[in-house]
Amino acid sequence: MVKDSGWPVKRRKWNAEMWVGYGFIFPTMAAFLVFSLIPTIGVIILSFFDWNMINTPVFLGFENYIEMFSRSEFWHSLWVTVQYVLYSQVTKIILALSIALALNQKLPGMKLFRIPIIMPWIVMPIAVGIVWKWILSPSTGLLNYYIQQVGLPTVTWFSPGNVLQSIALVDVWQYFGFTTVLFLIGLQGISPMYYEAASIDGANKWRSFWHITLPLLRPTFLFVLVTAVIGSFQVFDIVYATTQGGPGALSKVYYYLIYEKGFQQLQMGYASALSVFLFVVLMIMTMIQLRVFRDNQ
Amino acid sequence: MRTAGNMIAYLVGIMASIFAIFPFLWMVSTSLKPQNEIFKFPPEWISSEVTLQSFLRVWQSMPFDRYAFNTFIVTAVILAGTLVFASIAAYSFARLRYPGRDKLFVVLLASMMIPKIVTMIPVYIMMRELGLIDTYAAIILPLVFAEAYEVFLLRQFFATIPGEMEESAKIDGAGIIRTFLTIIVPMSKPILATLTVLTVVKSWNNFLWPLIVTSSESKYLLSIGLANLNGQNTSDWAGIMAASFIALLPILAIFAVAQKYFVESIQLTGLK
Repeated sequence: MVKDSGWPVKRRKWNAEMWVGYGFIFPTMAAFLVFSLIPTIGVIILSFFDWNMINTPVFLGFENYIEMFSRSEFWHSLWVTVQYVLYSQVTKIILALSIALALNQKLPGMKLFRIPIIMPWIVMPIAVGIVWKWILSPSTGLLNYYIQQVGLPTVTWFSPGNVLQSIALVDVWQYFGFTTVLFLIGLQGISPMYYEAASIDGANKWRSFWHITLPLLRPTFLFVLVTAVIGSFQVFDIVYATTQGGPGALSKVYYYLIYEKGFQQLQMGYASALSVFLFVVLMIMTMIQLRVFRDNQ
Repeated sequence: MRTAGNMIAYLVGIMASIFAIFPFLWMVSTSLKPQNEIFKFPPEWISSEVTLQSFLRVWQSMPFDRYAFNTFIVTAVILAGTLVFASIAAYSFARLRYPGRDKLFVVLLASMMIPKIVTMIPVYIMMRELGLIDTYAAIILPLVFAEAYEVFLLRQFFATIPGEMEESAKIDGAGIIRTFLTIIVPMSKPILATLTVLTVVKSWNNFLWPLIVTSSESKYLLSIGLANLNGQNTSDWAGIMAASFIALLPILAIFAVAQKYFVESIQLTGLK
């Protein structure tokens, strides 16, 4: 029994704190294992198979990926998503920053404006899509009525020429307030000393905006940009409610393609390959975000 | 100059608010109109006749009471689970000492990088193998044990609570669980309220996952019922707006009493 003397020295006793400690994290960690980690490995494995959920899976090697990269629908969806991200994000960021600059004035009641503008952010995207479909209805919609009232030509929303812009408009409406509040938080983190120093140096408002506000807002900018891009790469509900990917496949965003391949056509292997590709893209963007965030700490 | 600037600031605030709110008002306005006045030109914000018949009509065409009940049950269970599991896990990560704690926390945080779509196909297959397709369990299970960012949110808050309070409770002979329940939880009401609003919104509005795992009307959530009504391509906009109104009302009601926590939750997102 000489051997035994060696290791109890290092081994800590299981005290109450350890039991409770592990016990308290157990449900969340187990769920992480079952619903995140194992499925992530699963989707990678599945992407090498052909499986329609009925027959036995057939191993294909990289064939799903080869097929994916050679199909125009993949490139089309990717391109549609990128365009959509550009339309929605550029508009949203410009709008949100402008509103945040206005609401950042130290004036009575300014804080109250935050309440209405974040209301769209909390409501069901499916309902949002539906309500906007009604507002943007080409012949009987409210918006075209007002467009007509101010003497502009009416717009056939969700038509081939503007379907992505139409969906982007709905997205901008839903999230501009959220983004505005993020910018406001960023703006409030800038010390007034900078502006005082600048005005002593005779800088006008425009110059201090360019040389103080924008550079110091950089962390907020990057955070907003990266999270919003990641978020809108995963747009689905609004598309489902408004166009279902149409007309034709003109608004078939990437997420919609995965849904269609996986859950409507039951091409589980192919849909998994599509998911893995998206995962890699989003992972790269998340890493950029983390890197940027760390640099700003 | 000063006043002109102030005027512009107020004007921007008012215009942004109108932009944010008019779709809600138009939804309510349309839902209260009789069907034959929907396409009236020019459009009227307040119709001469205010009626609730559209609500009755959609209620009769689809079991919206069932959908509302399902959505409520699913949301309530997810909320209860999230509050309990996120707070005990967060307390453990913030305060208790045991080997491997910080490594496990980093592993959990890494899961925030995994988007839902990646896990969706395998989790669906898993649910099918377990015979859980078309049950509440399939909707609830992936969310009820709290997600990484929820644990993270609470852990950051718990870490700011001064340790002396727990020390004095310990001296009085309270165990770990007692200390957690009598000291930490009461001090964490604001963050728990924030977590509550975030979780309720998330599970109330949930759409794609419930769409995939449910197939019978008796299990549909409001979001799915609404999407189906919309998919019928009717021109009954009054009915569709009434259904949308029903789906949004509970969240808007929570917002009315707890906007403060919604604004705070954005603040926490920004700090992430």
